[in-house]
Amino acid sequence: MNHERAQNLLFKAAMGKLSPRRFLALEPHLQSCAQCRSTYDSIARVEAQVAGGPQHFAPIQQARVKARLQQALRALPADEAEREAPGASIFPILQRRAVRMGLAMAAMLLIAILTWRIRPPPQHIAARGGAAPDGFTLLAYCVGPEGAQRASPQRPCQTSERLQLSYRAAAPLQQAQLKLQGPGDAREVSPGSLPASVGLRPLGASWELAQPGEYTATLRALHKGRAFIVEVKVQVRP
Amino acid sequence: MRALEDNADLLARYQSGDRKALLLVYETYAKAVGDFLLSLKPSTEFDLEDAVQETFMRAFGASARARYDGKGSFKNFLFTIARNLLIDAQRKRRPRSTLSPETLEAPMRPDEHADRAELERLVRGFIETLSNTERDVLKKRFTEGRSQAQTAVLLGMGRQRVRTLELKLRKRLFAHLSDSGYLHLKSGRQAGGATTVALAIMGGLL
Repeated sequence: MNHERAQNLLFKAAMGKLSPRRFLALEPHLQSCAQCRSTYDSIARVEAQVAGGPQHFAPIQQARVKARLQQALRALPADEAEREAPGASIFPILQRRAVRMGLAMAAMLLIAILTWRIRPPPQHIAARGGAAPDGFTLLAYCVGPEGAQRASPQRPCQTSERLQLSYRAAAPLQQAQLKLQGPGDAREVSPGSLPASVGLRPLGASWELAQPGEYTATLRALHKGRAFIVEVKVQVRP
Repeated sequence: MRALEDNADLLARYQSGDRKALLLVYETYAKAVGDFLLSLKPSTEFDLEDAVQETFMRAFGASARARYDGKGSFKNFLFTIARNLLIDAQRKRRPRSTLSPETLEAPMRPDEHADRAELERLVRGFIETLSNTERDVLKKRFTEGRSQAQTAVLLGMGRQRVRTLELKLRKRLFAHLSDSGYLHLKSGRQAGGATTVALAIMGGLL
């Protein structure tokens, strides 16, 4: 499943209209795509807040578990949970799982062929990037018990603090990859969901700064259809 | 939906392992079990959805179905399974050996604090704009975890009306979050005619 299709299904889930079958189709993509997983989590957070707060099991989560449970129950042996209520069907052959699976796969194949023909060429941020666009700034903050302070040569971070990266841009980032290199340490992380609103916005989680020395954060991103790379260096003291 | 112990027909179907009955049982008790697991606040991190699923899978197993005789509260029966599940998981969990930015996170980061406060403010603002009927629908559906059919009966309106009202409320809620910059919903049409929807959610504020 491509990312766009997954986002479309997540929108349907946010509207409470995603069937268990489609939830299952979405499942593998949710496991592998950090951005979609983050979108899903955010919808769940919103729904839980509507219910009264984070202590509530959100409707979207209930629907997802129902889909997974339905699938798990199907896999149980007949004497466990296979005895369905009796009911006559006009098309008994369609009740056979193999036939249903075959039809579903044929339909999916047809849809894949059709969408392949109409899908616009994908934009990748793996392309070589140029300079950062006008108005774009990558900012580093040292986060400690007293709050967050902008990192600078005059205000280096300390090993007891965490590093939080944020960006300011005239338009939202479309895609991003973030890499942090420190003394004896290199990490590549997913920045998670990218805020669509402009202004100061965080990029991914904050990092522990275990070792003193110089840390370099490299952001490779797509902004208004153009790829670019930008770096920020942070000094860390014990 | 009546409790399982008060519904002889559903109880018999549950005990026999009728798959449709099991899903009905899940729909009736899913919210209660999820809320209960969240209320336990386990010391180690756990996946809520996995825990809810596993609780029901255990409750739907042959031995659990044979054990439940319909005399006690089924909700308490489920809560006992859920609690035991969590205790088992915590006993089995070994200290993590792999360090990653995610696993090193403190329980609540500064941006998470700000994000939660912002969401709370926005949702409160949205609920203040609703009529009493709209608030009742949200309360039954989201807070109490009632189905649309149950909500319709409890509020004395048709099921279709509940469905339509809920969809409108969801659209308005996400539009409200979009307008305030918290959540951005954008829909359009591709050249090929397929509807595309882009969702991007603000991860939080510093």
